[in-house]
Amino acid sequence: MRKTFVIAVVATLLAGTAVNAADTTLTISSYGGAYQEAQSKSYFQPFMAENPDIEIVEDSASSNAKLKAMVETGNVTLDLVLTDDSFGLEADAQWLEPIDYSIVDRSKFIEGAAGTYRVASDIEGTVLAYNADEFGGEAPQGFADFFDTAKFPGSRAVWKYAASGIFETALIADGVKPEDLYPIDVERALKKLDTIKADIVWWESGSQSEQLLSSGEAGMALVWIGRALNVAEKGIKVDWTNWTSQTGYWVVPKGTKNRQAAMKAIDFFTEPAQQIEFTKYMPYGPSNKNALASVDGKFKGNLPTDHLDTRVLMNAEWWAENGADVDLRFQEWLLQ
Amino acid sequence: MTVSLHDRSMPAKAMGRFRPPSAFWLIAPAILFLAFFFVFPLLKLVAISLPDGSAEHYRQIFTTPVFLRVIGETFRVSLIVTVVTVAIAYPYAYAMAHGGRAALLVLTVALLIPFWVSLLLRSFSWIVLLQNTGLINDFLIAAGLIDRPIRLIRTPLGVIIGMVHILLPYAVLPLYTVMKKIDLRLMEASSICGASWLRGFARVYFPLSLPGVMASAILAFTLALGFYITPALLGSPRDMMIAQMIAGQFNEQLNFGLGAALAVVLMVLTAMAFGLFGAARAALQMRDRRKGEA
Repeated sequence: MRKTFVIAVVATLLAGTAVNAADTTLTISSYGGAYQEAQSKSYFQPFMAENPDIEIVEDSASSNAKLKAMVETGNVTLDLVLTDDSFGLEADAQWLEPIDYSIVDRSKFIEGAAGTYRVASDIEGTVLAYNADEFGGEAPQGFADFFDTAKFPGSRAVWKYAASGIFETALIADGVKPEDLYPIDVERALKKLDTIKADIVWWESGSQSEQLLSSGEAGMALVWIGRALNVAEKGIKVDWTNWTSQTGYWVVPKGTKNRQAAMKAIDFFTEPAQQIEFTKYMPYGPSNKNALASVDGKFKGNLPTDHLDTRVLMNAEWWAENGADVDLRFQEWLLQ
Repeated sequence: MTVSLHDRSMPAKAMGRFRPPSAFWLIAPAILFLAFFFVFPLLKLVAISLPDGSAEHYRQIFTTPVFLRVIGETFRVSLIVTVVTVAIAYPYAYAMAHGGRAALLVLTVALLIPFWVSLLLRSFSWIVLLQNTGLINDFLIAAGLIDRPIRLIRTPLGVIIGMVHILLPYAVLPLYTVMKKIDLRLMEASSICGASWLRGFARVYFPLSLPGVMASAILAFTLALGFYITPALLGSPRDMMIAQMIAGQFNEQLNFGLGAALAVVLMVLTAMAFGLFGAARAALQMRDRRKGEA
């Protein structure tokens, strides 16, 4: 305790006297928890070591609503924000700085990872996770089995969010090919969902999804891969036959004073060395194609990028355009 | 009853005559605080709900069945929760007020300890108890009373249990303060006049405790209308309340305008409910006064 204090005091004094220490303070917001810790270890700290004139201050948790409010009131306190699929599209131009591809190398990314206003940080996935003891040795394979209540009876947990991939999942289970998903046939998807509606337990936070699986409350679930692996010790297994992809994206709020430094940071964070380091801590795949082959062994086989062939790629542009209407219809369906 | 009221109002009247001239300055900090941190943001919220002066969001709310249904559901659940909460709080407060010192201590501690625990934690605790693989179901199955878990959460029952539990302290405390001031000699007087305990309670004690009932019902009801986490965790999607919808519009849909309009509608409806309670209370007082004069 005392030692820490002394170190802190000395560090503060040193920082104060060091010439040109931290000219720029870069405030970065991410989603907190183990995820942000991993980013801190593999992205932020190496970046500061390499750029002593830039100090990174962390904030959490990212909220698109907060970013929007911040830009609208002209009080931009975040320089770099990690966001989700639903944000950073062409439709969000008024709140974001375009990515400066003279600083960020566009050619290094996998397909679809580099947009006008956002750059992918990592590839995440929503997978079918199941309790291995639940179905007498039978393992569900693919989204069709998720809807097969005769073969796999019991509760199944799903994220209560229209754009979570649940519509895509229902349509795939109903026989639609991944390439024919869009435009989404909302009524067809809801009709398919009707068949398991009574068996669905909805979750609204990642911890809740873990709890449902590990307590045996739900025999299977559509959950984020990181959450599924968190409860692997409790006998929860992952089926990669079909999965929907989510992506973490870097965006730069419009009006930030540190645009240059933010772009520089994005380029650094998406270099192979950093992204490979990240896979030591989190089961999310890299967005840099040169990092794909060399991911760390810890989660190998369970990284979304190990299963790009079975990925159901969600069309964020379609959701940006239709999300509000679909959500309203989804809420209506939930109330029925 | 009238006699005691008159007795009691004497010192209050005497105090009423003493008005320090600087009273306004004493409440100025509170007024300024409210103006900056409540009235101003509130007006801002109203402004956001009316982009370019258009009432489109309000039109959408009142013509879309989903919104109307959720608003109706919010009031229905809140009303049920209020009735149950006050019904449980009433005997509890009675025991606190008239059960002696030891009972008061135990009951107060039992009431306030859960109050210090975060709302989220309390809702999660209910999940642990009530879920299909939870304590209650596990116990009932082990005891051989049931062979399949009964559904206790993700039902309206789950929401009501969770909300009542959280609202109970808010309902008990105003009831307790009113009950503590009720002169129990009035009950003695009624029994001397030949009334049974029940009759004395119904004709003397209960009417005197009514202001407390009103206060706790108003508090429970207005708080219930804005509940968010508990229905989300313990209810099924069918038990969605308006606060969840407002959060969804802000956080998921990024539709600040519609979210703000929903919030304004909730506030106006709450104010109307509040006014209704107030009117009922005024009518009650009027009736009492007329009775007193007669």
